Amino acid sequence: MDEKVIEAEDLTYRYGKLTAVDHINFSVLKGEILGFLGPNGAGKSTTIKMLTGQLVPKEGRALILNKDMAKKREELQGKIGVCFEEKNLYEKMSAAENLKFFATLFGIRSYNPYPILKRVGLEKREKDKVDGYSKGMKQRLMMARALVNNPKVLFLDEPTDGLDPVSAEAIRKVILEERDKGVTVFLTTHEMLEADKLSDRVAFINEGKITAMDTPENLKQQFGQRLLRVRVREEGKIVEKDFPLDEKEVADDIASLIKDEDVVTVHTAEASLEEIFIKITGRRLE
Amino acid sequence: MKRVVRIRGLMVKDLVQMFRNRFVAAMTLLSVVVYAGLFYAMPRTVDETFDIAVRAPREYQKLLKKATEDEEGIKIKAFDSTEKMKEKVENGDYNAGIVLPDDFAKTLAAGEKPKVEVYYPPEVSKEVKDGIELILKESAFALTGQQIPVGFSVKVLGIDRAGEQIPGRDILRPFFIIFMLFMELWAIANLITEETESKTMNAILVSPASARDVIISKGIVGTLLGFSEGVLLAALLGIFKNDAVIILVTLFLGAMMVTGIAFIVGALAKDIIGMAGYAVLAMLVLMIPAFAVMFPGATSNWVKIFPGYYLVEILNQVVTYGESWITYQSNLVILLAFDVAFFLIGASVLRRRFE
Repeated sequence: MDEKVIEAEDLTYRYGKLTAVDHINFSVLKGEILGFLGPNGAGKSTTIKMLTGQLVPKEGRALILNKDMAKKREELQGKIGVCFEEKNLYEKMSAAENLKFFATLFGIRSYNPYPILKRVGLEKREKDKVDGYSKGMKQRLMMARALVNNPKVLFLDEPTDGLDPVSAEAIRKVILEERDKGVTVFLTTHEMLEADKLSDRVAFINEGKITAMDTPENLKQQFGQRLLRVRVREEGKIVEKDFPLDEKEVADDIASLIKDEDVVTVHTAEASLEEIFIKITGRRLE
Repeated sequence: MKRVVRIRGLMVKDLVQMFRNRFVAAMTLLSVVVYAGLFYAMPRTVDETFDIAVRAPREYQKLLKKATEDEEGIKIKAFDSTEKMKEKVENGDYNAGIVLPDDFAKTLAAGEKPKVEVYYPPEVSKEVKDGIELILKESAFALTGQQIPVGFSVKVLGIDRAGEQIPGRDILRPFFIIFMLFMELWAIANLITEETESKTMNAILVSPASARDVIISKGIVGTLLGFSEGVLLAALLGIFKNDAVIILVTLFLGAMMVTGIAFIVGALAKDIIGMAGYAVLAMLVLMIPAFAVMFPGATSNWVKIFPGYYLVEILNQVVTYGESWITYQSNLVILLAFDVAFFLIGASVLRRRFE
């Protein structure tokens, strides 16, 4: 039986009269990556704050490892790792000092930061003060910090936002390695390609409510249209022609096209998560 | 046990953060060096001697010297030239210059009033003029052989500090220590504001560490650091020659008070500029009692509404005048009450800010 590691039960939070998260329900299984997608202000950060014990839900429960975060905060926070969107590191301290300090918060007395710094490619800069790091290096250190306690659950808030390709790839690699070790990953992002690459399942949140939740493949099948996109040369110009694969007569159409026209390329095209999100919510992910 | 490791880790981090902030580190170090330097640069004794230059016939020079030799605070220097004497007085080498005319004895014998000239240096104070005039009158009686026909009964209302004149640098010692403690207010408030502004507090609060752990660690760091720096400066200023126990207790309570106030400042401020504004305001309000102690009479009883009064007053009385702590135990109790109040309010508002 699949073990539920994260569960949101009617999770609700209000800032005054504004309901930021409105009775959402979902669960994430052991070793699964859930991409939590939504535009700014949709309720992603408020949800992650309730799941990590930074906010107490106004209604409902946030269960981590089958325990209520609001009631077992200290115990559960010892088993989670959080990587924030903002670079909240101690800039006047080195990478090693940052990690050693956070290790003490988990009750670890003599922590060796070298192995984790090596994983994120910062082992040669371990003694340098963080204020001299690039944005990508800081983000990699944030990722390393989230792992100091060998967490069972990882909460990652926009972990690759605005990063250079090398740093983004290094972070994706660590996320997948952790997933392979059985760590459950809750990933919030507004980068649809990122979510598509990393997530086992994705959830769309809009105006505090979950509007869809499934594997990226299923969502594409359910909400997208499978197409065969053919590029043909007509009077010296390249023209694209789309053929919906779900229609019966498409085979004949394609056959006659190949026979009668100057076909340049043929490939399948499927709807992106971005397009599906727009289709479902009527909003763009920004 | 894990909580002890956490709080120790938070304390070490706070100390590292504090001393890697160049401004705070420099101000802390400079405070100790500058206050101690100022103290040792100031005169260690109070000059209470009236130096008087005299140009007079020889027999009167001797008579004047004899008349004043029993007086500890008067030094007479005889001059042969009036011009040379006037030059020295004008340079400020003497508090006054007196010229007795050559026919002083003759004029007296004739029953007339001899004309005595008195010269003062520029910008002489009224106190010095009054003192010199009193000496002149006394000397006139000595010279003419007449006794003062009135007996005086002198009584001082309040503490009689006559003969206990305290050098300015000694009066300033409690003031230096108070300034040193208030530097800690800035340092701790700055630490809190940096933590909230950079959102590192969010990272701490998703670990098993709670807001309470953070407040405890900052409270210990602030109090111990303020106390240690206060003790260091007190030792440099030679304060522990007085009642060391009461001074240590007072410094500890003072360090606690500024830490509590720093919590409030840190909780109210949204950024470093806001923190600077609140910290300066708090420091100004708290410094008012220190000025009141330095310049008695400048303020009245209303100064007692300021919590800093009790800190300054105890230090001032014990350090400057060597009073016993028993005299000021009620002030100690009031200071402790203020400490508890500031700490509780500070911890409460800070917790709300963090959470």
